[in-house]
Amino acid sequence: MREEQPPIVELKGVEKRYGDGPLVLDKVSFSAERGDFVTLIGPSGCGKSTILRLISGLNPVSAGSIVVDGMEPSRAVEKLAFVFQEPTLLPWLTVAQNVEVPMRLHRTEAATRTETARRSLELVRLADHMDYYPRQLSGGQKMRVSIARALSVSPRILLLDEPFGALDEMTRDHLNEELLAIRQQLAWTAFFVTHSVAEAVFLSNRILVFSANPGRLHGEIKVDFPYPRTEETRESEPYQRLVAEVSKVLRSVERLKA
Amino acid sequence: MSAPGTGSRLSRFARNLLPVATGVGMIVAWYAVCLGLSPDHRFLLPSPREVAQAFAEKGPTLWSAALSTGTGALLGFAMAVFLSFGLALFLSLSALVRASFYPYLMILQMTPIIVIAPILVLWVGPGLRSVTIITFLICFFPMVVNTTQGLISTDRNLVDFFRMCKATKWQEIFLLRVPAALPYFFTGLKIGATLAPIGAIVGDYIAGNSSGGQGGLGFLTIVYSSQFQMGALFATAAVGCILGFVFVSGVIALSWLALHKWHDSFSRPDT
Amino acid sequence: MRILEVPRRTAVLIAALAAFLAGCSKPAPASPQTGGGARIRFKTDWYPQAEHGGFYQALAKGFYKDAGLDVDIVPGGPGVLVPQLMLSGQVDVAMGRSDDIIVFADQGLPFVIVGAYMEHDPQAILVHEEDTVRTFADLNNRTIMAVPGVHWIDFLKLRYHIDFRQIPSNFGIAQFMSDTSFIQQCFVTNEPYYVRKNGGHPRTLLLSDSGYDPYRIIFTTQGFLREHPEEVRRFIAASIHGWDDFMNGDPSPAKELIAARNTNMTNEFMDYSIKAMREAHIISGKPELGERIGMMTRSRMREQVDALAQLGIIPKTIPLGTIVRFDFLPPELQPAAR
Repeated sequence: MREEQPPIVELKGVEKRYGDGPLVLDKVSFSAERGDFVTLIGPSGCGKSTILRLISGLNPVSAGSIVVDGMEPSRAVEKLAFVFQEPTLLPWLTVAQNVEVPMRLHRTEAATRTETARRSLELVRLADHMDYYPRQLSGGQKMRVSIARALSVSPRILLLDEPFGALDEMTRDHLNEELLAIRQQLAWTAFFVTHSVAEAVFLSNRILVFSANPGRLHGEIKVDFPYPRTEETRESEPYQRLVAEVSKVLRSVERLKA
Repeated sequence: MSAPGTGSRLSRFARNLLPVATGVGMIVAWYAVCLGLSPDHRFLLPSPREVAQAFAEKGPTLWSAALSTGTGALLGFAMAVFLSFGLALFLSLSALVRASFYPYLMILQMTPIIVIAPILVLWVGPGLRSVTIITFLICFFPMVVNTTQGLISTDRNLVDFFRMCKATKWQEIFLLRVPAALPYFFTGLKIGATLAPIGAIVGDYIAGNSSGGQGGLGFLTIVYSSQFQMGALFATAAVGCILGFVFVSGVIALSWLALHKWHDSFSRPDT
Repeated sequence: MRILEVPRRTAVLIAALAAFLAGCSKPAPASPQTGGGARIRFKTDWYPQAEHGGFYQALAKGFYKDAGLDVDIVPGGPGVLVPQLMLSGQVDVAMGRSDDIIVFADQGLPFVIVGAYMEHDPQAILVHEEDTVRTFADLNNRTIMAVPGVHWIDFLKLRYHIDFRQIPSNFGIAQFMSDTSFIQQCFVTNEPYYVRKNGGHPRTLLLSDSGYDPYRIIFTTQGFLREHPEEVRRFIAASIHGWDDFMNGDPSPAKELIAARNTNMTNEFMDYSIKAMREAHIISGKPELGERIGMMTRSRMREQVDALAQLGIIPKTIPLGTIVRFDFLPPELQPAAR
């Protein structure tokens, strides 16, 4: 029997408002265990991206607390990596140089950087594109570089904010599978924001549904399918039934008024 | 770029020929206009032949004047590049800093050079020094504004990413903001490059550039206009134009070197 | 070189453009007959000042009106290019210096000298009292602030076998006042007054003493002369009368008119200028040489032409008849027939 480990991320009564603006998040509480893949889903404006930014320490909470691996988010930054909606690559650097950026900022020495970058790129199967410039890559490729960059710092927690939203469905499906394949090897905890129910069900073991105005945790849906998940999982009947169910919950949440 | 076949070969030939044909057409029109002028007015517009003659006769004078003006322009331009970059870095630090300094920068920009120049000549003395400073003053403002804009316009996501990586302020400035601002920087430089020769000629006109007794293009302008040598005057204008061309081409070449690998401004049209 | 075939439409366009401009290029009528007599627009070379006194005297005391002329004195200023204005038909008659007009005439520009209002040029070199420059030869290796393109610069260099640097003139004395080694061009009637007023000690070298001795002249275009010979003759006569009255009579009418048109002018300054003109024999010349107000001699004109030819500015000596007409002067001032 495994020893009881404390949750890797815990939110208690978190509230957020920007300046004097309206309440964006209202008393959100949840926790995540090591190895969880948590997807946050909900209508626009429910604060899911905000939660990621709060966990990452990019913005402070207005009330309540967040504990990340036993620390405040801003202190835990070294254990975190963020994959933004845009690939956010530096256009004047090559693919390899881009992946090395976090290490450069931490002043890791050159030999280690190069080796680590190469391995990260191999994970996303772009090692042969090391000397390309971002503008020579497709949208999907750029996203993979962004993921490789996030992985280069060996994070314990990976935060992904709608990373595949701008891509076509086939690319998206492939990247979903790649992401899970990488997770097999590296076992980070993930927080994932998306609008796609199919994606949420495919990737995660827990789905948190939020309602909007203000953002509140409406409920949680557990996804029990075993890992590794593949194309076949997508075609399976239980999967499709769960997708339908979650969609229904989502629609009901959208109809809720504050 | 060109698909095989006679169709595109012809169009490429035509594309090269067209500017030349237009140029020749303009010279013909110029001659026609000259012929159409009354004798009293003929002296106001020299014919192409007179201008060519002036080039032939006064070639060496025009060349050393161009060098003289070009030196002043280059020095003033270089000074503007370095100082504007430094000031832009300073201004990019905070909105408060910008609010404090922009008004004075605007005042500097608004004050007409024609008024400042004689005062400058009094303080610094005539010659290359004054010309350099006048050139600097003319180029400086657009460069500062563009570079500052570039430094503060960095993509929000990239800034967040750097913060996530716990980058220091210096790392953020020199590894992120400065490279991201390079396209803006070069825009400012291109504007400055068109202004620098003008500034040097104006400076020349007011402060003289007689290093070794040889004046610059502005000096020649006064000489030729007071001596009513219209052909030479037009030739001087043409040389000034060429000088401007050289400057702008130089900057475009520099910006190509810095940007062509990664910036969209150099992307091929049918990628 | 192969002649490029110009498509027909373009040729028509070019022809139309040329015709249009040819039509536009007729000069505006120079002196429409108004009720007040024949109109003459006379351009001076600076803001209204005592050095133009004779003309303003003639205007103020009605000499022009008596001659049946409606004269409009149009002031010049720094950077004003008088020859260009005359060719584009905006002025009819103007002030100038004989050497400039000789050079223009040689270039084929249709100007002609018709009279002189100063027998000698008030142009001088201005130095500080303590400067080591005593003669023109001492200017060697110095720097002089002067208007670019003036011919006396080349003359001085050639005549005295010297060289010096030149910076463009800004027509002020600020640099002179702040630097005791500064040298610049000036008018003996003007800058020294202001230098003294600001506590400086100036000294001048009169350019006409160097052997370069132009007249300050009245000139017009061949065309205007052909169409209005009588008006030009009467203008010159009335102007000479004005100068005579200004220098030898009471100059107050001119001074009042000048002060009214130039608010910076003071009586004290104008009196200084008049005194300087008298002392340097600017207007009426040296009586011992038989010079008189408004006179022009063939020999001095030829000297001018020779000097310019020597400098290589005009390629050869040109016949005086192409550049100066003596027959518009009052009869008593005309040189003897050749």
